[in-house]
Amino acid sequence: MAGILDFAPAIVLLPFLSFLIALGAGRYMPKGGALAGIGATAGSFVLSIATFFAVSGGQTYNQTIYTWAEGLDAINLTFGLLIDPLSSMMLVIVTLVALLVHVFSLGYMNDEGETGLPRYYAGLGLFTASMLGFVVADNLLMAFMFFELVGLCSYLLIGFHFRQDGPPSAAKKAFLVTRFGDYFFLIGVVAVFATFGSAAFAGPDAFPVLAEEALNGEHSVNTFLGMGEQAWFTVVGLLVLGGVVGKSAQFPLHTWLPDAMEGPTPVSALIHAATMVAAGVYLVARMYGFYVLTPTTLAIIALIGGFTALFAATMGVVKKEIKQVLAYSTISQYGYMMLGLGAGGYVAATFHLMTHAFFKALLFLGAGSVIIAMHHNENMWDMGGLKDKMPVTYYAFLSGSLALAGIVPFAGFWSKDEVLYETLIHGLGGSPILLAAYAMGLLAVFFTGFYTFRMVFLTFHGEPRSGTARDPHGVRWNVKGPLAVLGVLAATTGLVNMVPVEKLFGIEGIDFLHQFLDGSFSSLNAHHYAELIPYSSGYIGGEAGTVAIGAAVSLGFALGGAALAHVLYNVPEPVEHTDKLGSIKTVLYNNYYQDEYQVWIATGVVQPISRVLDKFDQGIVDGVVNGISSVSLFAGGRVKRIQTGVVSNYAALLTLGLTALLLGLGLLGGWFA
Amino acid sequence: MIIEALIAVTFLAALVTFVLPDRYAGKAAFALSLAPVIGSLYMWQQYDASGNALLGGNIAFETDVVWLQLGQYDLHWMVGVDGISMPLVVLTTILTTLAIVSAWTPIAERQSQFFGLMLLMEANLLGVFTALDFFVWFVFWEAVLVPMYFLIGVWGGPRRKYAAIKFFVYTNIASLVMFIGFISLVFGLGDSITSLRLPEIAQALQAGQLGSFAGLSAGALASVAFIAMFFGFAVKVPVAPLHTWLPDAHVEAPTPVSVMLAGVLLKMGTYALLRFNFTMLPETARAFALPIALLAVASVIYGALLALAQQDLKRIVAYSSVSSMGYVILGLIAYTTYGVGGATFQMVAHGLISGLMFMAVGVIYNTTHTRMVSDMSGIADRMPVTAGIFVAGAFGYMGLPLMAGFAAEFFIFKGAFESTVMEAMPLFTGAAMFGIVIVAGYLLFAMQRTLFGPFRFDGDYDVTEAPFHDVAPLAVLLLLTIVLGVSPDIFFTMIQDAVNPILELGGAF
Repeated sequence: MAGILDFAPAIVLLPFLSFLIALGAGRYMPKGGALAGIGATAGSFVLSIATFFAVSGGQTYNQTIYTWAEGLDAINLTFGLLIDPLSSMMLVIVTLVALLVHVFSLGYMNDEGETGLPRYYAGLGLFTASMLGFVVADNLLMAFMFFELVGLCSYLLIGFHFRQDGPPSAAKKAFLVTRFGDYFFLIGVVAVFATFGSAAFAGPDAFPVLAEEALNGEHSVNTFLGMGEQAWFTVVGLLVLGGVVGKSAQFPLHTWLPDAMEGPTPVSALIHAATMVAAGVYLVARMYGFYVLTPTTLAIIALIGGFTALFAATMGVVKKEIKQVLAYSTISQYGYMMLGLGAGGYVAATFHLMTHAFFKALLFLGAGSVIIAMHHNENMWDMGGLKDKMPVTYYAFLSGSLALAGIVPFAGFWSKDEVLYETLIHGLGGSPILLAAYAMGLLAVFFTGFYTFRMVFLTFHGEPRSGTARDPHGVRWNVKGPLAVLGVLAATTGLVNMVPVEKLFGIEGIDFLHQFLDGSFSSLNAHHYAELIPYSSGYIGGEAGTVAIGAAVSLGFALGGAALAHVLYNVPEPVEHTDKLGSIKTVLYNNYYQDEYQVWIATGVVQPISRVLDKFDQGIVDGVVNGISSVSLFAGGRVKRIQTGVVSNYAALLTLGLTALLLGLGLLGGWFA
Repeated sequence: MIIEALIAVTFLAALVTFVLPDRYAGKAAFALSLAPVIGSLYMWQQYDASGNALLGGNIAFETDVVWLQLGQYDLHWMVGVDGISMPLVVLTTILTTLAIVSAWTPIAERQSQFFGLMLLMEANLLGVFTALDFFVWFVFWEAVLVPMYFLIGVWGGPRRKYAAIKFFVYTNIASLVMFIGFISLVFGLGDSITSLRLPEIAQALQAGQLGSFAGLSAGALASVAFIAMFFGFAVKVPVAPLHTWLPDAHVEAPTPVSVMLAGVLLKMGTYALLRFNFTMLPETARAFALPIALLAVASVIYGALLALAQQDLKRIVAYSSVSSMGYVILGLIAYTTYGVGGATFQMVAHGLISGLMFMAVGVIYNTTHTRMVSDMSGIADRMPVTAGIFVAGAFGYMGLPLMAGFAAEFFIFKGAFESTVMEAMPLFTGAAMFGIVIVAGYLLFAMQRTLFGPFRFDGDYDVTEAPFHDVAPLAVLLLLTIVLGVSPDIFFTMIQDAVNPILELGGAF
């Protein structure tokens, strides 16, 4: 079948090509290689759209394209492409955001006279290519490999301004913390191979299918350490989850993400919306068929998600820098996706992944526009009143903020509401853990509404609070264009999946995303997952009633938060009301001392241990070696004294020796008996 | 005959270099060393072996003639390669050539002797990896030490004499113990062998011909011999806690010598472990699986933690070699295709990547004349190309996918996890894998402090980009690392072909 899907590898290869071009020839090109990147991502975007429509029409693609390591008497390790609704949707998101980030970078990097542009655009190209490779990966090993490459690119781009102290440190932290998560992920990959002999996501030997069949008793798989299948699958699921928690910045491995704001703002947009952080959640969605088999893992995912959503939202409330607020909102929003996945809302979480990609890219690019205007001052307390001076940025940013806060009818409302709805009904169906996670997620909605509009009001409303805010730097089309595109998307993408409208008003067939994700491989579609989910549903006042109550409550919380922000901060001269929180603010501002304890583990525990071991190694281990040599040198020195050079001494020794020998032989030989 | 030609040409190149004037020695040594590179690549291209050389496989480029007679034993000149030794031969020739180029800048006196010794060492290393008769092998094995001793002792740093003597004595005592272990096996085999050819001995052992000797039963003899040989080779690898000669030798050795030491000489130990202990006495190895796996994990974690404590860039890389070699031991004891194959692959991968890292540190040292992390920061500002390759190499060392190190480590982890030698192998594997976190820790910290941040250098030297011939070998190594990482099958297929017969010995799958 020669069709558009046969060109799918080009989606990955084009940005890789732009990486090579920018790296090799970027310095000789106008715009430092930006045009290659824009061309490549635009090409990938067009192909992704075509792929998306092909998949909508029922086509799929699952082929091995490269044998990385061929096993003799052992299994092959391969690379392949899996194009199904989930990956084709993600391809569109990633390529679109990457394209807009490239265009935006013209304004943010080139127009601002940054140096090192070829390195920057090479990094963006490799970042995009790695993420796309991860998205289309047809097996867990390939996914892991591109997952790691995504980590490398984030290191390179977060540390882009390597001549300063902050960015290299943040880059190191990002790689190290996510590497800690990836350690578990890698064990998980190895365990999947050892258990199933395959790590494919789809096809005849897909490991989620093998696991499902094993649990049904259709055949057996290898388990280790004397565990039963269910227990072992839980262990494997949790191991892989380690990588997810690291990359998607979930508690307790979220600490790298706020530091990663040291990177250029377009990079932040890419990391938060479409690449690095999205990779974790996407992985759970990709192998959801495996996770739904282990209720314990699902419950843990839901709890981590709910807790992270709330935990990060509270920290976002007190931040001064616009990008810091957005960073914590990212952690919080990915918490919702995890909550959705853990609660059995596969479609809901995927939906939120999509809407979040658009509105978070928008917010970061909007923040970037503000930062350009403010001459790279990110402190919101120096802003104010920018609304009239930069209307395009303002309205786009407002659209993104409404989406983030979850105000109807902006995109975030629909997706967040569906996540909470799924959690609620499955919680009511007899899972108190999910109810607890629901409560945390709901509370986080209030905080989200509050910090979002605190940010909007402080930045754009009121009176300018500094000279730069009174006379901001203008931005050009290359900044406004991407903002406008994303602003429209943030307002409208929710319409693809208006489940509450469908359920309340009985309009059949407008849950387009549900239908879309139901297509394709029978083992990978939403319908199949729904059958496997280990939860039952419960309702308050019937399905429609629950939908209405859930939507009303979450909207009410969001509006409440926004209203509070309006009262406190939408005034000409706002003051830092959070100061009234006293010591709570200190704790929040210091991120619950999460960074401190992790830094303490690295520098207060591991480093001293390594120093003690070094002393031990030099003193004891090497001491023994040197001791042996000293003993032999000493002994040699003593024995050497026999060699006096005096012939009569030698004669005496000879005689004595002979006598002793004879005596010895005689005694042993019984001559004297 | 090609192996003889390869070794002879390399010896000849060494001789020619010795008598050349110092001025031309470096360039001439480089030009002459291209001959073995071409030779080994030709061999690789013509390679047609199958199976394991010791276990009745079809040996490539084999020569087997009686050389001397010693009592009941014929000593043969037997050389040849299989899938285990072929990659190491290629590695040796390429790395020697690159090390020679990297010596142009730092070696400023007695060049003809230095480059002559480098080539002499290469010739002996080629002998070690191709010899299939114990006597021939042992002669080469010991002969490698001599040039190494002088290379460290003459051109080394301030404590070069201490380091050289420590290296020589330590590894020589180890060789003695190993020799005793091996010869006791030979005596235990009694009349069942008529030569010291390794295939004959391995096959006799496999056929159960080992008798009692010196009052030890066959089983006890095998255990004693195994331990003696393991000790001897473990010093060379080195396996913790027998590693303390290594950091001293590396710190004192000039850069090109470190490259050879880490890149090839350590692989002599792991290669010999595979050839002798794990091929000849598989049942004993399996019986000792627990202590061996413990040693492997200890080497990985202990070596990595020690690397974390170092302030000298070269010591960091030196200790990390201990860690990387621990993975090899873990892979060997796994007795699975991916385990033993990955261990062999790691020998090549680590040879390239550790060579790359030592060279990168050396290039910075050539410019700054210091290797202490605290003496500099922001070097990337002045030496962007070197810094870029340093970063790429460091990520290779951390096991970045699509670079050779990841392939090797992943193969080992996969093979070790599914190993059947012990119930608890998944736990040992998981513990050893934590090395990938620590290695990221110390390399990222070191890079952050030396390469990045505002430029600062506490020295009188002008920090500028290194000359082309300093950077070129780095670039070649980086390229090879990536090529091998993208397409490990370049070597991995032949490696598997050679290691699979070993697995069948003890009844592995």
